[in-house]
Parts: sequence; structure tokens; C-alpha cells
Amino acid sequence: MATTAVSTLGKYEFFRYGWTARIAWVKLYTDADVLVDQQAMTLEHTVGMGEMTMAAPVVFDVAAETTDVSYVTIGYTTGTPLDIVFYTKTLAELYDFPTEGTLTISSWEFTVGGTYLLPAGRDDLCDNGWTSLVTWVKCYNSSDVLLNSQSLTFSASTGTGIMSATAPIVFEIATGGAAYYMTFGYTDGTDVVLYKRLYATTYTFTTAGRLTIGTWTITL
Amino acid sequence: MIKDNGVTDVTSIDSIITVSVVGGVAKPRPSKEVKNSNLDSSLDNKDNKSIVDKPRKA
Repeated sequence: MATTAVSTLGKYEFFRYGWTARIAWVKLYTDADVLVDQQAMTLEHTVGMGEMTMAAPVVFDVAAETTDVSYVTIGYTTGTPLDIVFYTKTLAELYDFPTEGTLTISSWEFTVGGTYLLPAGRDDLCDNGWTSLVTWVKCYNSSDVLLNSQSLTFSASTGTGIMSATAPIVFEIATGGAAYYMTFGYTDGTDVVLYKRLYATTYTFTTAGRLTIGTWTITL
Repeated sequence: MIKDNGVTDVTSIDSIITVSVVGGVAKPRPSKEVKNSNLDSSLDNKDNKSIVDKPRKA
């Protein structure tokens, strides 16, 4: 029996590439994990909303005497492992098919959430992932005055699905600086800000110094 | 120097799926599964069933 969840590789793909460019199929299974049918699937993204939807309804063919139709998975097929399963969704009810029939997914909406996500960040998580995009992190005070900027790279782990900064961040803060939040993003003509992270407290520097972010991990 | 040793943040994906069947008969899941599934269901007409899975509320 499956449960609704994002797989570890689904998390990795989310941070590394985004889902819309990667997901190629949806598979329907019984509660005993027997494949019922497989169909092509395309995810589309609504810009600015952090939402992904199916480009078109999916119709599964179900053979007669199939019982306990239970859940669907989405993913794509590659080398090793052959199938990369991103996400499993358990249907609200089980279905028995005494005769041949169909099961249709008429709509499927995915919503990306997170306290510190900005609209551009949601967009890139859906379509591109973050690890290949992010190049900088910037520290600000509560009046949105830039205190310092540093380079930043993230990597995602295939083993855990967690995205982490590849090195500590060390901001150089001038006397009187009061670090309130940091943002990360990349520059594409202009700065594209993906994420705005408030600090747990305001770090006030009565003399010039450094603010070090030892580790930064983002999970799904 | 001030050191913030660890920043850990969380993102999420929720999904709502709508399913209809032809030729199939729905049946409830065993209670031990329903207890944790956080799912609602509704019927839209006599012949076809439309099931909406709602994401967990914060």
C-alpha cells in the first residue's frame, strides 16, 4: 500500500531541475502495487502562482476484474534506476472494475509553498530548480538597505533530497549595521530574488564585523 | 563576529486531484488508512464519481 508523499529523488529533482521539464508519465496502481496502466503526462506552471497543473486530462484503461485500484505516481524514465518516481498520490477511495473501464484524472493541481518563498522563487522551483541558478546572497537591514553581498551556491543531495549551501556564508558588516534578513537569487540582466529569509533575531554590529551563516539547508 | 550556526527552512508541495471512473465501483478504504489520509470525497452524478483529495490544512 502506498501513501501520499514526495520521494527523495522527487525532492532532489525539485531543487535541481524543477518538475515541469522532467515529469513525463503517470502510472496507476492497485493497492497491491500492481501496475494497471501508464499514460503520458505534462505538467504546466502558472507563472507567479507557484502552481502546476496537468496540461490535459489523463485517461487510464482498466482491465476487467481489476480490484483495489488505489494510487498514482508521476515521474520519468531514465538510466539507473530506470524509473524516477517523483510523487505518489493515494486516491480517496479504492476502485473495483468488474468489467473493463476507465479511470480519468480530470484535474490535478500542485501548489508549492514555503514561508520565505518569493513569486520568482516559486516559478523557478516549478520550472528550473534552484541549484543551477543561485549565485548570490545579500544581507539587509530592516529598512531594506543592503549591508553586504556574497557569492552562494546550493547543491541538492540525491540521497536525502535536501538542498544545502555548499559553504558557510560570511557577510562583512560595517559599524552600525543591523542584519535583519537575507535574500538569494541570480542576475539575469536584473537581479531575480528567489527567497527572503528573516533572521531569528536582528544582529546588530556596534563595531565592524562578520555575520557567518554556518549551514543553510532547505527541505521539501 | 556573530555566527548563526544553522538555518533550516522547509518548502512544501500539496496537490488536489479529481478523479472520475467509468465501469468501476468505489469502495471506502479500510479505516486504518482513512484515518491518516486526510481526504474528502464527493459524488457528482449517478454514473460517474468525482473524488477530490484536499491538501492537509496548516
